[in-house]
Order: sequence, then C-alpha cells, then structure tokens
Amino acid sequence: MAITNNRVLRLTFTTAGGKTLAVTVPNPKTGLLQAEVMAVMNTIITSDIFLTSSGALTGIRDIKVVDTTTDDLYDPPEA
Amino acid sequence: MAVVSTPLNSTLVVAYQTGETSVGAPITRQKSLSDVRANATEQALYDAAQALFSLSQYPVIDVLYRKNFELTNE
Repeated sequence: MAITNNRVLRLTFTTAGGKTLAVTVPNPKTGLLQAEVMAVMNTIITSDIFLTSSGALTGIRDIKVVDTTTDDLYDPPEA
Repeated sequence: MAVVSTPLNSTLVVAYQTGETSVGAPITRQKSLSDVRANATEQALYDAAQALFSLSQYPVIDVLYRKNFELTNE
C-alpha cells in the first residue's frame, strides 16, 4: 500500500535479421546524455557478444528512460 | 562411444547492489542477459557488463558467466 517509483533505461538494438533486442538497465543515473549511452551501446555492438535467433547486433534502434509510478491501493489481508 | 559437448547459447549474469537492510547487509539483485555467444571472450563479457552498469546508479557486485553445453554420446 504505497506509491512506488521505478526507473529503467531501455536500450534497443537492431539485429542482423531485422528484429530488435532490448536490454534494460535498472535505476539509471540522472541526467544521462545521449552521447554517453550511445558510446556504451556501440561498445556492446563492437564487442559482438550477443547472438540472437535473428543474428548479431547491428545498430542502435532506440534509447529511452522509462519512469513507472505505481500506486498500490490494495494488499491482500495477512493470512 | 565418447561423449561430446557442444556449446549452446550462454547467459551473462550481473549481480548488483540495490541498497542495504536495516542491519547493513547488502541487498542484491541479478540481471540476466541471455543470447550470449558461446565463444564470446571473458574479457569482452566483463567489459560489456561494466559498460552497461556504468549507466546505472547501482554498483556491480559480481559478473557471472553461465555456459551451457549439450552432451551427446557419439
């Protein structure tokens, strides 16, 4: 029974097969710059450690900071 | 008759600390990234985990590498 807040950074990559792979990072630093995030994503693409069912990572698709506020109005009674 | 192991897709697991309990013990969470190449170098995996969490306020506690192998009898 509380208002909780959850922030994640969602990094979306494109794959060789034309699909996407999303990686979320919990509790991102405030005031992240586009260039900083892109640098990290490019490092991951160059290191070539992922192999999805639709191929390796090829590029950056999307970068979003997602902030979710949840107002929990009901908790089940304690047993 | 010999058992052969074939590497399958592996998982990179990053353990990070989200806070402390009232008595000061760390609270940790784990983030699993699947679809990791079976032949990825350990250095590249470690660097990628550190790079990813350089964007987060949570400190990294451990970087784990879970390899999967399929055993077949040939």
